[in-house]
Amino acid sequence: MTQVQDGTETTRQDGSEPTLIQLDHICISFDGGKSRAVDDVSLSIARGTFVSLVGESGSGKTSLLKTINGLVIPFSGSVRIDGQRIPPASQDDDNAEFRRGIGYVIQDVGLFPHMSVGENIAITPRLLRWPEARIADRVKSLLGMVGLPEDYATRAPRMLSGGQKQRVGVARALAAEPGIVLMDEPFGALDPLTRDTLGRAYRDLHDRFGLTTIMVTHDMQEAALLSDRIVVMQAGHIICDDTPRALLTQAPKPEVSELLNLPRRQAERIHAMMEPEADPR
Amino acid sequence: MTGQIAAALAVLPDYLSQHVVLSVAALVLGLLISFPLAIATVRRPVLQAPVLMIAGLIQTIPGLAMLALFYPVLLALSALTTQAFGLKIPALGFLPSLAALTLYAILPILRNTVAGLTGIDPTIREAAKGVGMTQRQRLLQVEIPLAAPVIMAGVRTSAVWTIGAATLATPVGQTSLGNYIFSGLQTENWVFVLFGCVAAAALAFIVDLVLALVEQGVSNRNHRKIASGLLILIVGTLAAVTPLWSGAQATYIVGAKNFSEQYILAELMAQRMRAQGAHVALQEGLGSAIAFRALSSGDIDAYVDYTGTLWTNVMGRKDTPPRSVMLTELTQWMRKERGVTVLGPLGFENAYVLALQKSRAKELGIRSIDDLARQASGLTLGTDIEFLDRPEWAALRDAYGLRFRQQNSYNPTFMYRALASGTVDVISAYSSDGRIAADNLVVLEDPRHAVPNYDAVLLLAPKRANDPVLHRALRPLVGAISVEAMRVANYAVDRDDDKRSPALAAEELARAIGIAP
Repeated sequence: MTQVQDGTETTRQDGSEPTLIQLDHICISFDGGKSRAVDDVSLSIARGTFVSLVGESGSGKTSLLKTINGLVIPFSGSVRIDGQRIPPASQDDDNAEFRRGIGYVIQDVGLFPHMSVGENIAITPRLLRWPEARIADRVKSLLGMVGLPEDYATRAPRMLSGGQKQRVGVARALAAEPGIVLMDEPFGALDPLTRDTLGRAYRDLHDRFGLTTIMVTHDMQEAALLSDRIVVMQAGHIICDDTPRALLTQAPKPEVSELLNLPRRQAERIHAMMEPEADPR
Repeated sequence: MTGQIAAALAVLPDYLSQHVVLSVAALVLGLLISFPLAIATVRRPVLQAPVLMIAGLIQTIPGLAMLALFYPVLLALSALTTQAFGLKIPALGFLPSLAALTLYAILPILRNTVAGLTGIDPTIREAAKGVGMTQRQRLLQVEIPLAAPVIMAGVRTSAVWTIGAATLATPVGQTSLGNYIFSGLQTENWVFVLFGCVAAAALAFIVDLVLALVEQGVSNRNHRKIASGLLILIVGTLAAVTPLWSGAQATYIVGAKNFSEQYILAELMAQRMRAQGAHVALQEGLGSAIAFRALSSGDIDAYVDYTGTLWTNVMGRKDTPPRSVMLTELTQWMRKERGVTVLGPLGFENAYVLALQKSRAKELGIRSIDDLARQASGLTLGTDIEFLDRPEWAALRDAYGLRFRQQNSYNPTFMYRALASGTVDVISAYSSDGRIAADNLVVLEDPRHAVPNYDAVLLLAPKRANDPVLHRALRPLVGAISVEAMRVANYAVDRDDDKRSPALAAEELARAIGIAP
């Protein structure tokens, strides 16, 4: 965050923040190794960073994200968080307890329809057996943080708008005070205005709580505006990994520049439209 | 008509309570089996197709056949356990009915539970994993609550099916609302048939309504609706079942096969045993083969059978000795081979006979089966449902070389009507049937004695061989009932106008033969 503001991006690369998440030689296959969704990818993410994983559908970005909370088990390679390997999944809990320490936000939110908004937010603290009084306080303060009135706690999820649902989704992900939050196209289903507001609101929370966030998105503009670091994936490989500023100012590989040029061209066209006499076309 | 309804209402508490106990037990057992089975198949999708296929196959077995099949299965099982542990499993009544109905109850619950659990939005599944729920927590806190409305719909279907199918438990000796239907069908008592149908349908309808309330409560998460629905079910079940607790347990069980004469004789026996102070229950509508096996295994204590039937079907004999020889041999054989006591003949015969309308017989010049055989190729034979499969028919056919132009099977009443209307020319009548005289029929002589005698005999179960109550109550019936008296009683039940219930006909029969109970 400070790196973005004062332009000293290199401090991150130097490892001034300790590595929190370390992915080593990750291969992911859904057919027992015949074809690979992710092919030999390594990535280290420093504590406090907001990383965007960008790429087309099928590039492997979502699968890579899910290895971090164990929803996808890599075919080979290792995932370390704070130096610890994810414990091997057992048949019964498939790493459920481990997952409670990581926030998870998905595009369609996935609020439990049979529970109230408050119960949805309280789910992970309840699984962790927090005292009820602490849970109640936490729900109240989270509603405030995501910009929803307190009395929304008793509402049913189906009574909320899309943006409100995702606010609850974010509150649920943050409920158990995780250090890491994984987001899979979190704002993809929202209208542009809500998307912008919610994205910025989340970025504030990220900074306020010193979270480490990894967000999957196919929208380069969103990635550029929100994150400290953009990792571009294509066909199971990382083809680019840099700060938004470096990506926009330096000339990257042709595959990446196409992704980058789109938001730039759109911005230029809108800018041109605002010039009194110019015809943007 | 009002008399019939009063008679039906009198036995309603007993029939209803037994029907409810059977249905509830089958439904609960069905739930206990299908619910875990559904969860197991959802976790192991490989199992899903075969399990659902087997459950579907079971559903296609006709209910009556399924219930009947459990009788020999349990009988064999009982023989095994008796040998191994000295433990006898009752093969008649509640147990086979419960087993068959439970199998029926499984499919709807299983199918809906699987559909409900697999139909959950994948996003919600992923969210449940994402927040850190274990497999068990996901199942209990998310999947089952979300699938509950679909599961409840399955329970509803299952409840309605079970209540309907429970009426089929009557032929294996389990009292149910089906007793009205089966005895009504056999004695042509349409008031009874209708009463049974309406009672079973009303019960199914009410239960469905209450379960709909629970289903609504489940889908709206309205706990008051769920609680009140369940409360109504529990109170209703208890209320329906009270007659079972208050009523004294029957100490004697009298059996009856599935036709009028048997119903009347069972009632007559029961009335006389009650006069001796015994508690008696009836198991009516038993299949011909089931009745004897039920007696020899002690599931029923007494019933009336016919010498010819026992001679060919149980002893497997093909010869037809004179009446007295047959009776003596049968009595000795029963005592020695099966431990069954033949108390004695009642005094009349109910044989399979071939009968024609008197006018038609005169017209064709037929007096004996020999005469009939010469013209059979131009005539149509009408029989009851089982006659053509019985050894008596084979014996008749072979002895006389009978070849009819056509052979049709009917329910007995319709068989007599088919003869009256000329649809068939000859029928397989019963010699003690009141309709032979009433319909102006002539019974053909059997000069070659192809069909054995069918003297009605009183049989006692092995454990009742020396029972003083049974002997005191039933001995006076030996030799007391003439074929004329039996025909009058049978006709009183079978006729369309001024119809008697079997119990009333039994009282009139007792008075007519001068041994009032």
